[in-house]
Amino acid sequence: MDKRLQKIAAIEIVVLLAIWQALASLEWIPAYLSSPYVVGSEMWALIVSGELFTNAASSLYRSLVSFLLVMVLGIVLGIAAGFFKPVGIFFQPIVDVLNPVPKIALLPILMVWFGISDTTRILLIFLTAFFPCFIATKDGVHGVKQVFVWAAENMGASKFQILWKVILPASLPKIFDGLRVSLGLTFVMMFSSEMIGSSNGLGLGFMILLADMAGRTDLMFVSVFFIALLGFLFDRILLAVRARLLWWSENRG
Amino acid sequence: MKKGWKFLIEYQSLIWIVVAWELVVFLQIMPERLFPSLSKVLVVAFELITTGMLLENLPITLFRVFAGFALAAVVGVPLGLLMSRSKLLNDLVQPIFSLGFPIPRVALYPILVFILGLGSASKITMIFLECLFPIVLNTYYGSTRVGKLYLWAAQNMGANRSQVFWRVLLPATMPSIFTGLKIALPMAFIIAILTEMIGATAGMGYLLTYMSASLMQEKVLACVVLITLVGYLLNLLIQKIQRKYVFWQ
Repeated sequence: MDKRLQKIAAIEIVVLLAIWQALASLEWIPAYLSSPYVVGSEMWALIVSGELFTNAASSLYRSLVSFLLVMVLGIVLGIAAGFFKPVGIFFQPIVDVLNPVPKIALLPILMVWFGISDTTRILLIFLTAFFPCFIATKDGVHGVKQVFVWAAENMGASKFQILWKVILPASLPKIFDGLRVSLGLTFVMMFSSEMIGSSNGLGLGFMILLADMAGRTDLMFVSVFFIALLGFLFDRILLAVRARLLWWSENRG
Repeated sequence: MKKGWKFLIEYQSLIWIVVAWELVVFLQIMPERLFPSLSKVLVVAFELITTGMLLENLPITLFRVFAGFALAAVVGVPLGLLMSRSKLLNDLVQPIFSLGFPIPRVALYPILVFILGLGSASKITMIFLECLFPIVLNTYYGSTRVGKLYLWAAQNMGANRSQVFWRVLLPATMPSIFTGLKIALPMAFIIAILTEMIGATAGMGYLLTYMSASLMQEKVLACVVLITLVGYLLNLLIQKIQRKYVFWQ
């Protein structure tokens, strides 16, 4: 997004909030739709009491641990599957069968095995976010020009050197495409795994669930806004890391 | 014989998983209540089909999936095409899509429930919102990348605006449109299951949570197997359609 579009986006958000506020002040929309002023002051109260941060922290812990696992396992296994043909063939049927499953359906099963715990949630988030990263990495390795590998071999590089110095950097643009999808999914599943199942502990999804039970839509808006903010922020961070690592690549997202 | 062997090698990972699973059951490493054997799961899955549980719930879920998906396609494809043609529209709409893309939009679902209730309306709206993004973005980028040469050639040969659009721009964008649709349809199914698990009185997601309340793992697993099957078939369907209409790719 260039500067001009950013300006337009800012104007649009302000106009939308103004319309929302106006409709709420004139009482043209039902009271449960709250108003920006009420949501804002509620958010401020939660920030001051620190409640928002403790909830956000435990949500973030779940999604970031899973994302770390996805990054490590997805990239390592993806490169192995792309580079060594037998490994690729071994994993292909698992990917074909498991990838289209809505992983959220596994939540009740995992809940019985591991309890309503962080293990369950982290595992579920990991299972969802793993496949985009794995598939993108594997595609990226397949897309590396054979000439590069031959050149490295010619100059006496070992297998490990080829993987580390040629294959990994050359497939990084694709890997980042996959990671971006995975990151988005971790936040979706973070919210879903907290929403479904009983409500105990901390987390932004729980905040929504509790607010829902109490009929406090203003609190729901606060948590939704915070989840959106976190999703947006971490996407930006990933894009910044990508721009730094891939300064040589043409398409920097 | 050789073909069978090759098949075994190719699918060995799945076979290993099944073997490991059955071994856990056989050696009773986990209590059977929690870890039922796969044959039992398949029997229960079959029972769900014959007793009509599936027929009661699957059409409701599929209706939500296709209604939301179709709405998103009907709105998204023209919107994406128009965005690539009109600068004003692009300036207005592009920021919304760039900002909204990385945001977990499902978080809005509980609020949608407040507005539209627990029925199909809130679920279809959620599916529509979620599908709109990949469809609009892929259509938009696809049609901005249509080769200028094609458009110039058509104009040179005296095609008017509507001819350029229907005969050149739309067919050239078709593959990208399908890329978007192919991302959107599985997503529609996932969101349908997800929203039904959060709260519903019918549908596959509801069936799953209903079964899990019984704490009978084989019933839950049977549900998962059926959901997987439906997801897989939906994937197959969109691929078939793509091959029929974008045959030149």
